[in-house]
Amino acid sequence: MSLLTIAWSFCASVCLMLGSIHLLFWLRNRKQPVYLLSSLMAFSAGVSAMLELGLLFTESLYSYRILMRWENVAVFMILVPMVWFIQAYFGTARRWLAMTITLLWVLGLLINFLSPHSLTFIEVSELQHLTTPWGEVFTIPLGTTNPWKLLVDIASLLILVYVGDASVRLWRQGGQRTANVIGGGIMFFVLLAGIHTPLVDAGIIATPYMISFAYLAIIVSMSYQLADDAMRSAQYAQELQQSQQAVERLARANLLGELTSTLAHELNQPLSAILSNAQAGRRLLASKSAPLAEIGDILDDIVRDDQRAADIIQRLRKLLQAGEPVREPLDINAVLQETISLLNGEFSQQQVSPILAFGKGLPDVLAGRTEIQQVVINLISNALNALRDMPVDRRQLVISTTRQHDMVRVMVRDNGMGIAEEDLPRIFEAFFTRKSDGLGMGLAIARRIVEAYGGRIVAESTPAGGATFTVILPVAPGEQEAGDA
Amino acid sequence: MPDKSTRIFIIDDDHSVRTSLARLLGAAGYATEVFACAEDYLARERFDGVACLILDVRMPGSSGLELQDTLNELGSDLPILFLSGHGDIPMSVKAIKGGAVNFLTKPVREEVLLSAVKQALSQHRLNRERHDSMENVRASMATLTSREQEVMRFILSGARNRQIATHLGITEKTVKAHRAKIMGKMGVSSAVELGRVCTLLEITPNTITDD
Repeated sequence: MSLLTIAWSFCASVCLMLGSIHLLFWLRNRKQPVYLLSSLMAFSAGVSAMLELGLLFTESLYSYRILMRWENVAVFMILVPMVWFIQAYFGTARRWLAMTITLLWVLGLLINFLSPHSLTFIEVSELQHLTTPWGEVFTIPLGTTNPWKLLVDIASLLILVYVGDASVRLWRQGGQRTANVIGGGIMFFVLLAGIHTPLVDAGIIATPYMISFAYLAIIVSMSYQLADDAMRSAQYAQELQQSQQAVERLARANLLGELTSTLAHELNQPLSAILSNAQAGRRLLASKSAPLAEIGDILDDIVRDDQRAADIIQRLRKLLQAGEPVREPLDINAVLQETISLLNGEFSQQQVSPILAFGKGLPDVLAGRTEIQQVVINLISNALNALRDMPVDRRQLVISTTRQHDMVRVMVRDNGMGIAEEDLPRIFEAFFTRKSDGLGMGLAIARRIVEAYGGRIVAESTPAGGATFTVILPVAPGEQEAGDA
Repeated sequence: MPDKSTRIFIIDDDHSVRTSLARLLGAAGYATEVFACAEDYLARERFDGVACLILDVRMPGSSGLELQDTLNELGSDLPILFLSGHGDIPMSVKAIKGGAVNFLTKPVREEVLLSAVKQALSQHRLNRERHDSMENVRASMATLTSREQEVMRFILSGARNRQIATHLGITEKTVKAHRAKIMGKMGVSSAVELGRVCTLLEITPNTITDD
């Protein structure tokens, strides 16, 4: 097998492979034109390598002219995307230079097709055969150089200036690495190709054209840089996820902080009753004829209030439970009831009596109790906030549950100030808030939680004023058939 | 034995809390009545005796502070003891400004509660007495004829009988008779005492100017 064939075929296949990889990157992320441009460049370099291989072994003048013409098209298709790649990727390149280079090459391409033979030669008169040191015979042309080729030689010089200028500016802005790898790479290899090719054209040195190798080197340096970018962004994504988790923990602590005063109030009630009852009992016992029946009642009440305090602490403990949420079949009505009683203090402070409309015989949903409670607390606390400016007697908060096929819907509706139309699409975004002291994480976390359980959360502005939040959770497997009423 | 003429009204939305407070105050010898909300209390017929109100600040429906406003508008002189779950300073300031006699924090200790109740009741009793004596003076005033009232205002200014007689164009004897009637009806024995009673009602003396 010919070494020349192997070398050029190898170059072509590497170019095509890199081109495919860059194309895949672009398809995954179409907002990044750099991948499309570098992919175009790589494919063109691959085509160029194959054309060069053809030029090495062609025996007829006619096909040599055609191949030469198309080789110029391939070079155009390498250089122009490269120039615009620099434009897009560096962000420091001069646009007018890019335009000028493109224009020069478009002109060059026109001449390429209008000239009798190609942009390179006015006339290819003869094919010369040379022998490599290892004894392979290949073809080089002899002919008259096209004076219009000066256009694209100027373009090559401009590319050097353009890339050099953009790299220096990028370097100054702190992008030393990119400036070195891509800018330096391009300049070095364009220079190399720019010196080598005219020398071959002019018949001064007798080697094959090696344009594609120079651009392969450039494409490899680009790929290196782009792969590095991709790895970095994966790392950033991971870091972002970690900080998101931290923010979620923070938001949960924040929510609990808000609940502290209402919980203090909740605990105070039974404690207060226990104290007064005990003191009353002591007084009654000290009297001459202690009313034993009443003292019995007092003790019963003390036991009941003690239980009540213990329940509050139990619920709080469940809500505070750390660690991974456990998916378990949940009776959504029971979870809601528990959450609402946790918020009793909040309701009485805001003077809102929630209307509960729970569907009967709802199937269980598969979710984490604590997380669902967190979502519900968030929605209720938002609703209470929205009702703050309403007259007390008009404040309305409805919490309802219904079944919808194999989903369970939880709806929290208030008639408060509602959500502005333009805010609706953004309301679940992280850090989006209209509260002066809000983190903007509550609804973002709520959505993440609900979606993690295969559900959805929807916000609507109620026409009559107010907002409705609907959480839709899938029924736990094995529950679908049960109670399909 | 609970004193029937005094009453303590307890308003708290929490059944346990209001029952236990009623028990404690009952065991301490007070007559109590409990209500679950402000509206229930307002629906009750007005109590005439000495009383005080123990009121939870946080309640669904109309809150403790709102009830205080309503009672102030109705001209109630009932002392209010506020009970709050957590010592919320702005809330207590508002309550005290609204005329609350005390602001107690739940859970409230027996001694604190009982002394606060005692203080509130004695304050109400004092208010009542002052109010009653004012009412008496006002009632006595109403029994005076217009001539007697006219004469009384001259007496309050320190005018002598003769001056009054001259000024009104009546005999000194008639003025003396008026004076005796006034003293009798107002239940006082001297002009000084009359002056003290009338200051309470803010009756202005009428000075005779020499012309």
